[in-house]
Amino acid sequence: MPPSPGESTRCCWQSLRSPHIPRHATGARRVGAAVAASVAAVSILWLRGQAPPAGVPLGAHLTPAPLSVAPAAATQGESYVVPVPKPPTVVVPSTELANYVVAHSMFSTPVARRNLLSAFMTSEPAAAGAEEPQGDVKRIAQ
Amino acid sequence: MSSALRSSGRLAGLALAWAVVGAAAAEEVVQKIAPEFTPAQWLERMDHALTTRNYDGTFSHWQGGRMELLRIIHRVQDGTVSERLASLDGSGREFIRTGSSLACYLPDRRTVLVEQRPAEESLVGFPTVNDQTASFYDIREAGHTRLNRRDTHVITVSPRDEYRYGYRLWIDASTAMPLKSQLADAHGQVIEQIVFASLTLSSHIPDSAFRPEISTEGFQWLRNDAAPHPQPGVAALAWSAMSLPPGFRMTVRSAQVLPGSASPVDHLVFTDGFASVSVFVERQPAPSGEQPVPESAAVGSSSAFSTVVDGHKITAVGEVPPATVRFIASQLKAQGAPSAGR
Repeated sequence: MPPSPGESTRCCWQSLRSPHIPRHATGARRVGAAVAASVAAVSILWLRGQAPPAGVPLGAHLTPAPLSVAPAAATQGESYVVPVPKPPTVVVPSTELANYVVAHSMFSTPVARRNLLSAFMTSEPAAAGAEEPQGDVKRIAQ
Repeated sequence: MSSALRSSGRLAGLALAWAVVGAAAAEEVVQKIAPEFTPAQWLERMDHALTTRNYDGTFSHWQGGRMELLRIIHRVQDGTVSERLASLDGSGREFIRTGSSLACYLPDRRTVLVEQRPAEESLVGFPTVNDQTASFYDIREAGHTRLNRRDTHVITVSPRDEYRYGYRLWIDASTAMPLKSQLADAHGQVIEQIVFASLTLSSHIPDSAFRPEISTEGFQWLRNDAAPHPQPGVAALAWSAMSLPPGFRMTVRSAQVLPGSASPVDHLVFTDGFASVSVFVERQPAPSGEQPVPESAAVGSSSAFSTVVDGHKITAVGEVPPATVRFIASQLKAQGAPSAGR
């Protein structure tokens, strides 16, 4: 008659708890346990040596948080502040300066010329009425 | 069992050895096919490609946290260089050069600047790197890499002082076109970047590609209606720099009429081989009581500085740090010329 599922489990459990272990194997296990305990003890002592002295906050070793992260981010976890772009350093070139840039571009190296003209093309558009020839710059109508 | 393992281990070792030998052989074949160029030669090849090839490309320009798309079309046909650079977003400005004629369309100002240049004046390229240039820049090949599915050589041009900027260039191994370029300050900080998204090398580009897309109706046109002055006048000869940043020397001196101006402007060009600075000298109108103050400006990573010396306005413009244009402009003096305002 085949054993029930419960009996089978009990049988295996018993076999695991009461294995037949030779005497020399038991001695080896004891030695291994002793070595493991020694390693654990040494590790604990080493970790204690690495610990900061009393009174020093653990966070002192951390690098400061990026400035772009809002203080609220630490509490809310999932929110952050998109870094504010730097104020544009591009000064709106005057018509006179535009003349100079175009004239200078003829004497720049090819890569520098491309950079210069590209920067001029992408510089901030002038506000309406903000750009007027000054000084002795004269308008010549077409 | 163990003999089988040993056997398979031998086979694996043999396969690895064959792979290494094969890779070395393949690399040797590649080296034999593609001639090795020095970093300086790569710069010269790039310069040659940029100035002589026909190409049509779209690239992103990043500077100061802003990025915009631009399109560049370049053609050399029967010895005439045509070029069109257009902002695809933002200002919508366009720069078109056809031979000796330069036109700058500024829709945000409803203005067009038109300048005629001397026909014999050619665009300047990267010079042959000599010992003097190498003493102010460290030119190296940083390695090979793939960029947009193209093999590129990464060439770095690092300044040795703070009077100039450096470059990092990704040069296409096949065409020598720069697919990506970075401008960096003396500390290696990237301050400007250009990356091509598409680039087509064409044998033929039609004339229609060099016409502006914007309507210029109602725009004011500023021209230099007077003929350019190829030879310097007495006034131009009178201005010179008392001192210059290390490595810079004057290479061009001319008098020209700029769009919108009736009087000629003295134009001096100083270069160290890579970077260049233009200095423009023009008469300053009679002071109206207020003492003009020197002022600085920037066009992208390029710098400008303007001051008044002996009744003349001196403006230095160049793809160099602000301190360099300030240095050069402040060192310019008129020497014994009546037209210098003395």
